[in-house]
Amino acid sequence: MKFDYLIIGSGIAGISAAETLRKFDKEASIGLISNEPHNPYSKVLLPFYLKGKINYDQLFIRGKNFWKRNNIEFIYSEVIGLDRRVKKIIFGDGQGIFYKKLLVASGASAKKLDFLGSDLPGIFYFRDLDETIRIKKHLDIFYSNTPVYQHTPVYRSDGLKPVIYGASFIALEFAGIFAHFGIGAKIIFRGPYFWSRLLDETGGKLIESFLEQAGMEIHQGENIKEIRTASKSSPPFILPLREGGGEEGVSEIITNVGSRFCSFLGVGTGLEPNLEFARIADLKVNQGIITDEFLRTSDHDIFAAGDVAEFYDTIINRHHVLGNWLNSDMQGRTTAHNMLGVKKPFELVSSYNFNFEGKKGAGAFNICALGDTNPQELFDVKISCRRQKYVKAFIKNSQCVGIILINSPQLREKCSNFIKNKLEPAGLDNLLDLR
Amino acid sequence: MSKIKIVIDPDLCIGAASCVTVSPDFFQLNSDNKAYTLDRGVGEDDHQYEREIEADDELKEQILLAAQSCPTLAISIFDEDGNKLFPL
Repeated sequence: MKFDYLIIGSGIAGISAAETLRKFDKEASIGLISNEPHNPYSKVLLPFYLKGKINYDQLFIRGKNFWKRNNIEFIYSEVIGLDRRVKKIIFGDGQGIFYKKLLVASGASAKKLDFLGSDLPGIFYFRDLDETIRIKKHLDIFYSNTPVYQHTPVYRSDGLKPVIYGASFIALEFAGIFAHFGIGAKIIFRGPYFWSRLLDETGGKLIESFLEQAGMEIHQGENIKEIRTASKSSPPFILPLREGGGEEGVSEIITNVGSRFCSFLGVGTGLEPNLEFARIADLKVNQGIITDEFLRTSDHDIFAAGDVAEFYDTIINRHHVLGNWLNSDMQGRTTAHNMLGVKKPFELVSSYNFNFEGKKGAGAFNICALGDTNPQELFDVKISCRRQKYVKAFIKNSQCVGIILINSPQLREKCSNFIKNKLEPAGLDNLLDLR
Repeated sequence: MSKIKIVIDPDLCIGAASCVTVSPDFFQLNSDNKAYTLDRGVGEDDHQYEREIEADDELKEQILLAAQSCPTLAISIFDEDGNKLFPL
């Protein structure tokens, strides 16, 4: 089998690319490979689904007949290899597909815990639809008013308090879901305050105060060493994962501080791009698959877009990885044009917006991250904090390359234009005046 | 030219602003960080979430792209007969 255009990944980067390719080339053969069997859905909508704000059918962003309507062949499989000499991708069963042009939009996966007990049921990373359905089932069993499953012999009421591990946007998503249901969770993380690698202490403590208002407990400087299903003092929680039977799940976590009972462990410790097959195929990779401003990799018939791409950003004049919906959507579209032979550089001040609704409004806050705020880079910074509003600007080589806004969404457009127009950082003082 | 209707659900809007990026003359964010509608850059009421506009095929395509770019499907588009163009 051979395709004119072959896409790996059914996230928004892959879907946008496929749509754009079909729009401008009605005749080409287009194939899209995904390791998820579902129609295109939005991961951004998964928290809405868990909170009961939308139903299952509303998760799907392109309708039921998307593949047929666009004459795109959908292939449900896992890519494990890439033979660039003959332009062929290889599946786990050894079969393969040939391509003329290839787009790698394979996204990123959650960094999994890697110690004793880290594969137990009851540990969630909140990365895809199938896992979200398991989370919903778990929440229904343990946190609804009428427990369905009664086989748990003895359980401690404090063990039912969920634990969230990590300080990340995923950790905030978990907290948002528990706050919505009025369930207080324990948030534990290594750093001295929330987002200690991204914000200063004022900003980190501000977020912690919002989370506490929403009913969360914050535990800094703590990291998990082991996860147990049961111990002498902690009987196992039995999760009814199979019909007619159950499976012992998370019961207790051991940290550097002590032990905590829990039946739900939500993990938000970061993401890593899915690029192993690209690395083996000797494509140029670093933190992501390296591309130029046209999203073209070191192989000119292969492109990369979305969370997996380490693209050349023409606004800040360097390569970096950006994992958010807007970036992925726009990169998917731009990449399609370049695959069609129309040279179109990718240029965007990316933004990521997150709303924490709190517990019936208590502790609600908004975060907007613009441009480059990568905590692994070194920046000069300007910070302003007043009346529960916070702004941090990231400056590199005398240029403002990124800005984080807490509770100041009205500044977003001006900040975005500031970054895009590469204005002098001295102009930030007026821009960021929070009075 | 024909008319299309833009309808935004503010309960679904998370202020991602992808619609603003695609079509800033027809979508902006208001003080509540919700997208609202304009017509060719004009819109006095920043809480107007529904609007009918005149659009040729090219503009209709751009508006549809903006709706498709929304991560929460907060934007619906209808033709002048009330048929839903997006989401399907």
